[in-house]
Amino acid sequence: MPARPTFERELRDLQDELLVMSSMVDKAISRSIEALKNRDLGLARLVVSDDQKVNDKRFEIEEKCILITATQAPLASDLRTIVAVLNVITDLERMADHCVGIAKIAIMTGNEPPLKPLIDIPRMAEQSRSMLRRAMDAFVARDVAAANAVANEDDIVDQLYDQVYRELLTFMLNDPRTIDRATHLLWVAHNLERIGDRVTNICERVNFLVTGRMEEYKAAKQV
Amino acid sequence: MSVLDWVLLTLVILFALALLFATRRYLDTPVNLPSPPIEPDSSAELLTLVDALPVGVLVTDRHATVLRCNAVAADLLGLSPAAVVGRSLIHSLRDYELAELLRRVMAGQEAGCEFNLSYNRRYLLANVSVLGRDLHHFGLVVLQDVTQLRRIEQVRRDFVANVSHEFRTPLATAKLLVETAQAAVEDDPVAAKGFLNKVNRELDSLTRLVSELLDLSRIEAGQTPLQLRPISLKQALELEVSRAEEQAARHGLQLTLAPMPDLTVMADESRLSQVIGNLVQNAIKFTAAGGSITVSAGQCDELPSATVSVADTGIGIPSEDLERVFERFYKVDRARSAMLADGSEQGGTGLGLAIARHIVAAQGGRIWAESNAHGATFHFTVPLAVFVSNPPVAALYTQG
Repeated sequence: MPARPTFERELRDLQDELLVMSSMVDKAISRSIEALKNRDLGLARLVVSDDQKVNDKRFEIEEKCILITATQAPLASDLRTIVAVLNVITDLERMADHCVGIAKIAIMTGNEPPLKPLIDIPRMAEQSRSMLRRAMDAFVARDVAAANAVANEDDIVDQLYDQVYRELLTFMLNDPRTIDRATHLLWVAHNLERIGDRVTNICERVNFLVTGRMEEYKAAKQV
Repeated sequence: MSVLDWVLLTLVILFALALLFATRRYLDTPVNLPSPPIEPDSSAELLTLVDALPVGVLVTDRHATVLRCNAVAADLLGLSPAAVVGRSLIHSLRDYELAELLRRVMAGQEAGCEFNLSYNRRYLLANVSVLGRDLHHFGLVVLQDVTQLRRIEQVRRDFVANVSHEFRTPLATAKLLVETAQAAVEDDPVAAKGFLNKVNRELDSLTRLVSELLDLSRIEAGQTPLQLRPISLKQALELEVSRAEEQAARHGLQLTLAPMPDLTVMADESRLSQVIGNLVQNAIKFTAAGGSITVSAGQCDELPSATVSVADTGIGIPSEDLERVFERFYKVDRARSAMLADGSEQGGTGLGLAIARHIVAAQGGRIWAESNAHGATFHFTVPLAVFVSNPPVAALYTQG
């Protein structure tokens, strides 16, 4: 029997709510890219409208965090869990905003002829989704090693972004009429690159949650 | 599994679990409560039955906490049952829409229904329903792996789309050329003749496509008997390599036949040449100028048989596509495979590897592809003649 069963249950529920929110973001990434790839305007509009649900969930979780802090006086790792959750929901909410950015581009470009079949952009999306899922697994399991491994994979997203950037630049240089469409795709790739960075932030929070240390992965890498 | 089987299976599970709850009020019933007289081992038997079902079964309480997870469900989720039981459904399935659906079904806001979800690169069909009433009701999520079904559907859709595409392109070109030739026939008969020659080429391309489709269909149906006889593998490879040498040189590629032992294999000579030729042609198509193609062969312990390998330094194949390249019309990364290494349009029908797979299987071998950052390698095996006496041609031919 746990020492504080109500508190334990509340923390567990909080984590479940966080998983719900990450699942919302995961679907937003997948759907926004599907909408762009298949020129599915209905799906793109769904991503835009569903963003409100993500925002609502963020505030719901934030309120729960405040309530638990006020009523249960969490300490040590419990307090770090709540602080980490507060940070992670901010990252998740911003990731959903990036998906809205992609969906809006899908709506804007839906009636234009496609510049090129999408290859690396869906790969970036798949990589980001995989990283998000494993970052959340690491959060649940309090697994620093797994979180570090996920954070290292951000380089793959960055490399794909560079590849997309170079390829689109070639299109623009060869034919200036493609500049508009190429720029839109560049924004999509940039949104995905930022999603990858946000996943890295989540990994940093896992590190903090377990060790109590606040370390920035990118800064550590540069050293 | 048909829809009817699926419904019947769900009914059986519902019945089994309802009986279980009625007899024991499931797992959390205090043992000192009086229970109706039942066979002593029936609950255990029912639990064993649930565990042995060929579909994934998750039972949750009204808070969506998993109470029971059978082995198939755990396998589908890639977790151990212990990691699932006692945790919320979202914790295991990570699909908020499914969790929300379960909540609505349990609240009586929605009838039991089916839900499609993708999980760990698998496609699952989840049947969500509720068991029991009032305070003693439980959520039931029955999971079925429909990845294979989805893949077959995708292959079918791709096949129809590809056949239409492959036919439409030469037909549209031929129609345009005929119209132009009609206009030019009186004023410029020389130009008209040129257009008609182009129409002829388009019709040749269509004929080749139809011929390969029929070839594939006949092979799949086992209607074309193989003439299996002992042949020299080295000679067959030398012949095919010499045939392709000029084309490879034109593309700026180095085509090499590696030194090999003289192996005698049991194969159909013309079909074996077709397979080797197809692999070499593919390697030429997808290798940029300056690259190399190496054809080699050696003995392997499998069966025992000989293994033929065609390695190139081309663009390679993504790992997820390695299995699918042998499907009809399957083209890896259409945007890239549509262009040849020299920048021209790809000329293949997309059937070559599918035909090769069937021929190799019919000869009693297997074919597979490997790829890394340095290029792709296709291997296939063919049984050694010395080990095959009285080959069951008809039986072999229906393989694959």
